[in-house]
Amino acid sequence: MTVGNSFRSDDGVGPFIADRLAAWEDAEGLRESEGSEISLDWINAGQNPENIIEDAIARNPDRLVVIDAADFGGKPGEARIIPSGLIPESTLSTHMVPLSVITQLIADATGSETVFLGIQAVSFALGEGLTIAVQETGEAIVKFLTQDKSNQE
Amino acid sequence: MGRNINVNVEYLTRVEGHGNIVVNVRESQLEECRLDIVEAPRFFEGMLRNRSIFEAQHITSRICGICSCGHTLASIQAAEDAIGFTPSPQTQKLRRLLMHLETLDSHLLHIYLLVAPDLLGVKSFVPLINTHNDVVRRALRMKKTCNDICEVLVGRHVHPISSIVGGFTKLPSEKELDKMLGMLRSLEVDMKPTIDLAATFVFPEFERDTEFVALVSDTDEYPFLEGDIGTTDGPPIPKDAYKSVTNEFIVSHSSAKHCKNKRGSYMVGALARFNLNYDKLVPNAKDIASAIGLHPVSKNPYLNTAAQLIECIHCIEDSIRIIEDCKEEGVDQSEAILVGLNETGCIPVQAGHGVGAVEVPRGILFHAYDVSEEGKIITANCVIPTGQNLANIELDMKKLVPEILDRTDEEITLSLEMLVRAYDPCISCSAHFLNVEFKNR
Repeated sequence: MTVGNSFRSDDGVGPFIADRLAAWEDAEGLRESEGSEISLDWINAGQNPENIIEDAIARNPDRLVVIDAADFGGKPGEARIIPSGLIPESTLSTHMVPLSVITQLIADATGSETVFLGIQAVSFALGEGLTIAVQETGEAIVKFLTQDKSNQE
Repeated sequence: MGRNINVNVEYLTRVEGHGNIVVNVRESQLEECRLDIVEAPRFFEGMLRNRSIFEAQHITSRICGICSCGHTLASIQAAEDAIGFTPSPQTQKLRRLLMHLETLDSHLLHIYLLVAPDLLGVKSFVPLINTHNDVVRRALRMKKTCNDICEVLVGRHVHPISSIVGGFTKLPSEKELDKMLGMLRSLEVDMKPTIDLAATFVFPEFERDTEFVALVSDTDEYPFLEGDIGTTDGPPIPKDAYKSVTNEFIVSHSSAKHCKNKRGSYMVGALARFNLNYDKLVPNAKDIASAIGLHPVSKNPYLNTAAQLIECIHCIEDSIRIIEDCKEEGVDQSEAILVGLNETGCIPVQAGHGVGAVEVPRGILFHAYDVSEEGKIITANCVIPTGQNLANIELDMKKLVPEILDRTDEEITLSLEMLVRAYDPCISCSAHFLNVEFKNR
């Protein structure tokens, strides 16, 4: 599950990864190949992760990896597994539903393990495009995920 | 010896924005009771100056992520009023549908996420995941459905694209009407357990006689987008004279202006609309209102949430009716217009003053523009519902606190927080909102 806002510089790394995965999937023709078991599936939750809950549950994941830009004081573009306890429970309002609520609902319904993968951002300023370090990490994650699937097959 | 109470809630949760509640009781006498609004002004009126009326709705929709359609429609209405443009009946019908979708989205989130935890005895929405998992999923599913219908109608979940001065840039096809109808039917299904849940809510007993203000009209429609300014204290007032109703004034503890009309305060929002327009609700909504004990004129502000539930029932049924009408009569696709900034002059423009008055989820919203001959905004004024409710909330608190002095500090604080939350304030919009500060209890 990729999260982020493509109009906020490096916050767009999640949607960037989703776009690359979609392109890879189209190139491989995975959705069309009958009988193929897709062990890697994804949803771009963008800025409204609360809207993908039922879709995510329907896909019944064994493991839910939430990929988002983060600021944990790491090197630019560094990717790190973030313990779920460190995911901030932002204040709930009619305007925002905390990410932890969304992932818990999915985990409760599917029994999936949830992993938060944070990518150290350089900038969250208004504007399109990723910084070089963050884009390289995004591409490396896509490569890892797609290679990993090929290996499984 | 009397009791001293000092309440200081420095960050009221489950409201939008930042505000504080400050209560000071000395020797059982209320000395101070106020709602501080501590957010910075946002200067949207200033941003609108010298901008075209044809882009104003895209700017003002950003005032609020939850009321973006309401601001869009108020902006469009003010602009059209200023240049003397009358939208077609089809446009008016689809705008009503758009307003219903936003009302549903906002009310459902308020009922489920913000109010339900208080009435189900938990501190926030999060513990409900363990105890009421199906409720949480239903709430978010319904929200998504409202957003999805909105996307079909106006191109995006929030901040509508296709709704503009003059009409719509894109009109729904037959297939899209069917898609929206299907989603509304699913909302109708989810509404049943929502009503069952709400029927279990026990709202605090409290009443205060106040003035209620909402749009009223001569038509059969429960008014969201048309009519005059109705009040329980007198005859309706034309929307052009909105300033004679709002009478904004500044208080030192709030960065949002307060309002008053015939009395020291007035209330806007779902309860005001219910009280003034009960007869125009769909029959099913009236039946449910009776079943849950809500009758006009209700003077209990906590029941604003119950009124929101009733409006949800109305909005779903009316939305279905609108779409079925569209299917039966057909949508005239030739009405779709591309205006841009009106470079081609397809919409005649003239100088003038216009007022938009729209019932958004939290109450009546006014936009007023002075427009030049070129269609540029010279001055703009936006009066937000939460701002109109602030004085009323404070007067409610001043009546409530002496009535509950026998309770613990924690119980008093909760009652005050619930009271403020019942108004569903959007402090970010009003300037912005909520903390309770007890002094000298």
